Amino acid sequence: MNIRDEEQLQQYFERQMSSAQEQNFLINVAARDDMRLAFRSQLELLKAVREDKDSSGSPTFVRSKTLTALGLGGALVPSSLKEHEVQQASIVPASFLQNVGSALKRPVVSVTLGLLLGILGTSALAPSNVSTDRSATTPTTVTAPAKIAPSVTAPSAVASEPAQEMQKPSDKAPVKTMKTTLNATKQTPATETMPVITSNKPGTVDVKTKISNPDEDSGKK
Amino acid sequence: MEEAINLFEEQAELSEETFAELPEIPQITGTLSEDDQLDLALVRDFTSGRDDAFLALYAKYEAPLLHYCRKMCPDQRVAEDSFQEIWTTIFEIRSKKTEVGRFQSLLFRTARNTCLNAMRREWVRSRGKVELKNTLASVTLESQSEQEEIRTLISQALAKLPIEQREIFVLHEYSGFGYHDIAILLGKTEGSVKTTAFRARIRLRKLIASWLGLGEEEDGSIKVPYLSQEH
Repeated sequence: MNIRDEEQLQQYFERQMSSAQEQNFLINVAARDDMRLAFRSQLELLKAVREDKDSSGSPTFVRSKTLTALGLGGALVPSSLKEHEVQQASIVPASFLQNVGSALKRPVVSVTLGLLLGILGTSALAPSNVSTDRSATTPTTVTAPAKIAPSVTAPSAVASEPAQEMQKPSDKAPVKTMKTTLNATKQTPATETMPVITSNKPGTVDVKTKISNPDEDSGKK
Repeated sequence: MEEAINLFEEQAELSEETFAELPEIPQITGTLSEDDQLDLALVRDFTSGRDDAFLALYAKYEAPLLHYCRKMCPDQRVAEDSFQEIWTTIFEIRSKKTEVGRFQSLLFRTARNTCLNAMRREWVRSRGKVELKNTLASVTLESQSEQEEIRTLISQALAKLPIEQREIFVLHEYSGFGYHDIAILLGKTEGSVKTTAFRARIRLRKLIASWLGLGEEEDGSIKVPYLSQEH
């Protein structure tokens, strides 16, 4: 065992050998007793060193001690504070909920709370019903199709046809049309704005859902 | 096991000469690598008042330096105190306006001096004989698993290696420096660093082999259990 062998051994364990060199080296190890001994004991040595390295404790304590001594303790405080805050955040709601739960178990509290909620509910519902009756749902019907309108503009020839059909079967179609549009988007996500191209029956299925609303609305208007 | 430890008994005795013989690490003034230049830029930022630059340097060298201290100092407590002392010395660069050629060299030169001082103090305290204890070494071997025993053995063996061999072995295996870097760090040639490391490994391997029951048989053949017919 000379320094050349030692270098080879070191190169092998540090993975600095080419495959040909490695092969020669392993043949050498198999052939020579002293090399085999060196190989085995080096392997054990490296294993022991690695375990020793891993088992030496975490440097957190030394770090905080050292940096605090240098007056730089504050630099590491934020991370530790964050951890503390997270712990606090998880503790506070739990204790709060526990307090609320234990208070609700008391009959007096639960009855008064129920009464209060009942009163508040009835007073809140009465004016809201009046207002909904007076102001009809017209604003929603006007605003909703305005968002869909731009997607309709591209296929002008087809758009006129389904617009007429859609006035009839608008209540049958939704489930089917939703499925087809979903499939279309799955296969070719880029064609979202042009549903006519992607579906098998452009005039009947896809275009109905996408195009119907603006046309209906324009007809109404 | 006892025989294995006895292989290192000759190295256990330290004297005043042991410390005096160690050469000082020279200041490196040659061309700097990119990594060194990055360190220098951080040092400049730090001396101009930026604490985050110091923290960046600290983060970079914390692990290798802590491993160095833990293996070079007599025990865990002394190692941690030395670690703190080293960074305090480095922090004083700012107030003293020290010229830094190569930060890595400065750091490990400071580390070496601090650890040697700690060893010397321990040596004086124990009246001539340094008890190079390790936290692991104090644990009884009988109650441990095989791997733990080897680890304990390594710690004890390392503590009994000559300081130069131990330093190079620790810098390479624990702190992760290449031989070239160690040579620059210690102001030696790469060849001499390799030779020293080779000697250290031979000693440690002999110990391991003896502990594992590997070695020469009476008939002159070498017994290596995992390759023999028994296994």
